[in-house]
Amino acid sequence: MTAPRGPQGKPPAPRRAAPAAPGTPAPPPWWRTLRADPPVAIRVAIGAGLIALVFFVWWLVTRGDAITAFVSPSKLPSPGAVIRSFGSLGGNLSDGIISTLERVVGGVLLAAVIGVVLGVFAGTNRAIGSAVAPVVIFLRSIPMGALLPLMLMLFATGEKQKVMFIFFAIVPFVFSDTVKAISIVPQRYVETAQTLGASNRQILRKVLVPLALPDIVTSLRFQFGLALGYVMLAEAIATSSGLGVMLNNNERMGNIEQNYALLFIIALLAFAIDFLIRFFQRGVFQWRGDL
Amino acid sequence: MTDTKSDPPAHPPGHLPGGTGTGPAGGEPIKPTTPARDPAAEAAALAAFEAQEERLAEVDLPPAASAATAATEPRIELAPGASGKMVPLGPALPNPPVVVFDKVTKTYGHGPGAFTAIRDVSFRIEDYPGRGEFVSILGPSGCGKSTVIRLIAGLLPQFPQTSGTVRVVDKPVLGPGPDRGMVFQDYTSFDNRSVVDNVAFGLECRGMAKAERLDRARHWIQKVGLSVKRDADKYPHELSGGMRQRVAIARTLILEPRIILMDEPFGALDPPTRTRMQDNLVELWREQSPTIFFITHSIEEAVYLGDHILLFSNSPGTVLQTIRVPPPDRPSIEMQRDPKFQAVVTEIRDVIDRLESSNRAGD
Repeated sequence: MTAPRGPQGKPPAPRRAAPAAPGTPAPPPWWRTLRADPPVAIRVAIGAGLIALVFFVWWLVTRGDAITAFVSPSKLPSPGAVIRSFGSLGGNLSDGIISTLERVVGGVLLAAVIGVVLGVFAGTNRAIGSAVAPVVIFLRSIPMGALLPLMLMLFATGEKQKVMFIFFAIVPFVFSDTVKAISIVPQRYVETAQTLGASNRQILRKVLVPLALPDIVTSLRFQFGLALGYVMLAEAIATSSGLGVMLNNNERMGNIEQNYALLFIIALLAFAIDFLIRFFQRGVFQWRGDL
Repeated sequence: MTDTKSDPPAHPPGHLPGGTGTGPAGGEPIKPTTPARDPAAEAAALAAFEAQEERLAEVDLPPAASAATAATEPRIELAPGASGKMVPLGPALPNPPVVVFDKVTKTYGHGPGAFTAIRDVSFRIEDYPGRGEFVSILGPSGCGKSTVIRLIAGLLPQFPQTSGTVRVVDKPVLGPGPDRGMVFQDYTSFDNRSVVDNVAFGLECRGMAKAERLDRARHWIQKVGLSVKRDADKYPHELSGGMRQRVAIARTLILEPRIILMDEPFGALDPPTRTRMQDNLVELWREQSPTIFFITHSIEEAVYLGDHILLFSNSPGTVLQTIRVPPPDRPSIEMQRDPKFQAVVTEIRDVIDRLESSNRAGD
């Protein structure tokens, strides 16, 4: 934390260089320089080109009808069929997104409040840390899916069950990441604050927590992404609404086009949420150059 | 480590410290330095230095200090340090000494794995009314210099000492406090605070009202040579190493501590920045008169800044020698250009060489 942050490991982005003096050798081009970024236009072209290639191959192997296509449409429908099925999702889609997000946000917020508060205390008071450690190690070691039957027994099949499932699945990780974020604040900062007359409480409030907060938010951002995955699992059992429900219904009805369409939407949703949280992080923690 | 490379080609080669052979920076061909020094020329240089000091003493220094640097005394004053006795560094004074170490030893661990960082360190820094002492601590890496100042600061795990007594203004040290400010070599600006909020941190902890503490912080930003307009609202990641250390110094001095502990604060800075920071520090020290303990690896820096130098041995650290040197009277770059200054540096280097070789022989 003492060194200035930023993408320091890489060679600097190439500026438009002034023409070299005659007789000096030209620098090697980007494709022969290790870890050098190509110009933006080329990067965009490469990315777009690869997407186009994927779609082209997809179109190629699904061309024709059920008999002539290289891959059967019951396994992989054509791009056109998937795109058409977006329209048929309709109002179900927004309802599904809302009820799924409600569960994820609920579980993550609960885990954030309890995990971060406990983590801050455990990170600053190692006695609390030692006390909580066995429980956390136990919870971290349980495979997520194995928690689900217990959650059903404890909380029946309502909303509470899904929120609590997400909470128990991610709270140990939020806790550990918070402890870590607090402990990696260099001791020099604590010592400096002490020699400036700060009390333990003031050091916690004015030094440790503010400096650890960006890393804590990063942890929550990752856990949010994982929670979106866990909720699909929870929604597979006795649930009436949500993206996971839609995926399962499609499976039962053999509506594979819509399933592909839904996967695209879920990926897009996850990316958008991650992007939003990162945008917020960069705005709030401008003093960290590396977020 | 040394700043000799930036010396102009003005001084005679006989005064180049230790014959480092780097030569002047001006691009002239490097002349071999004469290994044998001319005792007569040096004696003359000493006399000139002393005369100058005397003039200074009349102008600047209170009587207690001028007595210590009187013309009849040798220019650098050596006092036995390793004997475990208290080292008297001046006439008895009415106030209790600022810092007293009496046979202080710090050992980590027990049994055969135990490591002794410092052994039987004794010294005494007096409280001259209206004038804090500037104590440079010089010694090889890992010799326990940091242990000494962290014991004064009351910082774990160096604090508390294994045996001996440490007294600060006649009281034992109980823990860290704002009366003993500390500046580290690592940059310790709080990354989440702007420059002005960093400088105001200590006042904020005291509960001073926001408007008042920011006002004072801006005053101090300017005093340490930063621009209130350009730098006050910057965050540490936008600052250079030198600027960060200026922030750290302002943040400490704003609390007007009795003692300032500096652990190689300029160690990571480039030579020009370093000399500018030295000048600024001397200026602030004159103004506020705290007692400063300043750890450094650079003999030049120690000689330039210090009233006296505590010379430490290899691990386990002991005070080998207490050396009194002339106080800074000119900007660092000018003073270091002076052949007489270089003579002092060379002399101290000889003292270190002699002590280290005798130390090794004794092992």
